[in-house]
Amino acid sequence: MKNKSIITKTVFYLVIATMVIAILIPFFFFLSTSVYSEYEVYEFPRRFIPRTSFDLKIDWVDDKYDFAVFDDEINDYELLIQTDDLDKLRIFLKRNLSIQRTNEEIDRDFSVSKNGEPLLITYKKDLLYNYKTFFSITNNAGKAVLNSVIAAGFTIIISLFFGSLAGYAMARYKFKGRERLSLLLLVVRMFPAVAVAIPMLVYLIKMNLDNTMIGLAIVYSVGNIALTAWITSSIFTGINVELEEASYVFGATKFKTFIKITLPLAVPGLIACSMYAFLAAWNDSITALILSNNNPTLSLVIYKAIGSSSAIQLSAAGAVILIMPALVFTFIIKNYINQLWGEVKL
Amino acid sequence: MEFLELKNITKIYQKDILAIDNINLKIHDGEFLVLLGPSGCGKTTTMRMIAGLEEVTEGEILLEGKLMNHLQPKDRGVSMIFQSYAVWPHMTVFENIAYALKLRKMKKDDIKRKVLEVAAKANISEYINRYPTQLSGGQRQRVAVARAMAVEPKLFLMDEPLSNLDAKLRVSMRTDLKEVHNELGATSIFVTHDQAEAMSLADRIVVMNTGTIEQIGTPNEIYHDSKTIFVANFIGSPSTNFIDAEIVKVDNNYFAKTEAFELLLDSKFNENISKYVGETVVLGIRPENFIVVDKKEELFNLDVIIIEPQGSHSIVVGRLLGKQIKIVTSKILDLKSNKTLPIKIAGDYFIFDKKTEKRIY
Repeated sequence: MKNKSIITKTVFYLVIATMVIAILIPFFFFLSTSVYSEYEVYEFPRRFIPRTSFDLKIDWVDDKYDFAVFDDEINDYELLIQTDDLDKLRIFLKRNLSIQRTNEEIDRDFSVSKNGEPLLITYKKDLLYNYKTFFSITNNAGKAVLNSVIAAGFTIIISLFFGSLAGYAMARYKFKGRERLSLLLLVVRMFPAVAVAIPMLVYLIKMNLDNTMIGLAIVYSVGNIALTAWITSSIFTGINVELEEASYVFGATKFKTFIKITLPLAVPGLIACSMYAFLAAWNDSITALILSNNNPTLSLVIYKAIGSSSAIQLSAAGAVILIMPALVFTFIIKNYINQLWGEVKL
Repeated sequence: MEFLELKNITKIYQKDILAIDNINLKIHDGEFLVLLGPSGCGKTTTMRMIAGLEEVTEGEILLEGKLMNHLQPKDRGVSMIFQSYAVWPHMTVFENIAYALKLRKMKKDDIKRKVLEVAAKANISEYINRYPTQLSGGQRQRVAVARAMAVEPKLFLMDEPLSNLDAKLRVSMRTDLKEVHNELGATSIFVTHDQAEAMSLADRIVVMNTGTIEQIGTPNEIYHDSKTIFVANFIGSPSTNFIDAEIVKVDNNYFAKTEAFELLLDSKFNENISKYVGETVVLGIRPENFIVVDKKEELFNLDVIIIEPQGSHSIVVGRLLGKQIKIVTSKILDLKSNKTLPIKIAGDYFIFDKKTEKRIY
């Protein structure tokens, strides 16, 4: 019996560990790539853990600086550039090694080598260089973050509002065709967003909502209302009808009962439910590409950045920027996720 | 004018399920009325129609002479105690009790005074700031009672409020509910399927079966004067023994004749029994109306199967004409020396028409 439990436990944790590794490795890869300098991207083999600083050797030869970086793979310094132009050196340090130094600092430090002895110096890398660059080269990145937040917010509000009303009706009222309606709601989700995106665009243009976040949110909500209705219906089913009936008897109207009794009890479930709407809006780039190309969301900006740039460290930085809010959001609501399927506890 | 009157009430669910079939009921002011019946008999539906939680298909509900059919539950001046207690889990005990008072736009000070007053009556003063999840079942039940008392209703409705409690607590809560009723004097309607609960609480009991009322009466009337086989069977534990018998007439006396015995019927039956001569009727005899007698005095001998000692009395389970018979006796008996017992019928017995299942007097 004891042996068996050890075996089951071992197998269980092996499976869990495999799943965790399968999820974490790509994420870690992203994270480390996003703080690579250009030089590290082309190093072979790649470092698993990025450098935080560079050991440099500067030699004054033929009236030029010989600029070399220590490479622990060959255990020697690798000569990268020969120049006496301070601007060139500054830009090289910034672009290739993610080191931010002014001309004066470089001149002050490097000129020591003019005495004949090579200068050995360690410069700290600017770990956030790629993130800063990402925002500075994609000139609308800040706006895109805001757009994404707005689109996700509207999607949550629209799909939760309509979805929970539908879910409440499905949970509490018996009406003709109820089963069929709930099944029909799921049919909406069977159409891939791309397939309906063009007709949607036509509608949005007619309503003057193209390239706006509210228009985008409406399209995202179409599929999400169905899912929200299903999830909230099970949340509401989990709330004892007698709790509402007691409220009616003790003097409340139906509306007041919904606001005072049903909604507060359903809120944890609804919060968890909002995660789906958030993720659908936050992660989408294809629909946004078609419907809101001129006023892009963050995921669309990153999608384009990845497609057009060869600097993978910048794309990785963009991807991490995209992932972080979703992770933070999920962690905030993680306590409520168990209540998604109608296990209402307080 | 009656306090509450149900006139020809019918309830049909989903167009073809008849839940309540044309019932009439009058409830007096200040009375404790119990609706009693097996599950599915329509007792809860009846109560829910009075509360306004269920629509009335046909008929009228009159409260103090006013038609209530289309009033919202909140406008009926009733309060209700639910089977699941239905105390709101996201509110403290205080908020639960104050909810209805706030909706009535009472002043804050008055609300506080009232809540503390009813909480004291219901014995939950010390839990006033707790949440229901921190309370036991019995305490939650008390919160529900306090909440119902706070609104000073004209009518108390209680839907099997004790069925979720353990046996011991149920009995003590029963006493408490009755006390609350006596103190407030508000008219109460109590739904239960437990006949012992009904007997101990009720001023009058309404026995219901398959959507109709079988009998209305005081606990004693219901027990000693059961009008139908259903009532005689449902009320009392152990329940009434039923024995098929043929009516025969010898000289001017009527006898109920079975293969085991011939019972001389009381002369009060003479008038109504005469048309049953030669026909089979059902004798209904309460377990305590069989008595164990000395040899030679017996009406019949009972083959004893089991004797269940209950302390103050014993329940004898025997077999007569292939049917199980239960007898309650205060004698201390044991199975070994009492394989058969001489039995006599003493006291009252019922005679029922076999077809209509109604009582013959």
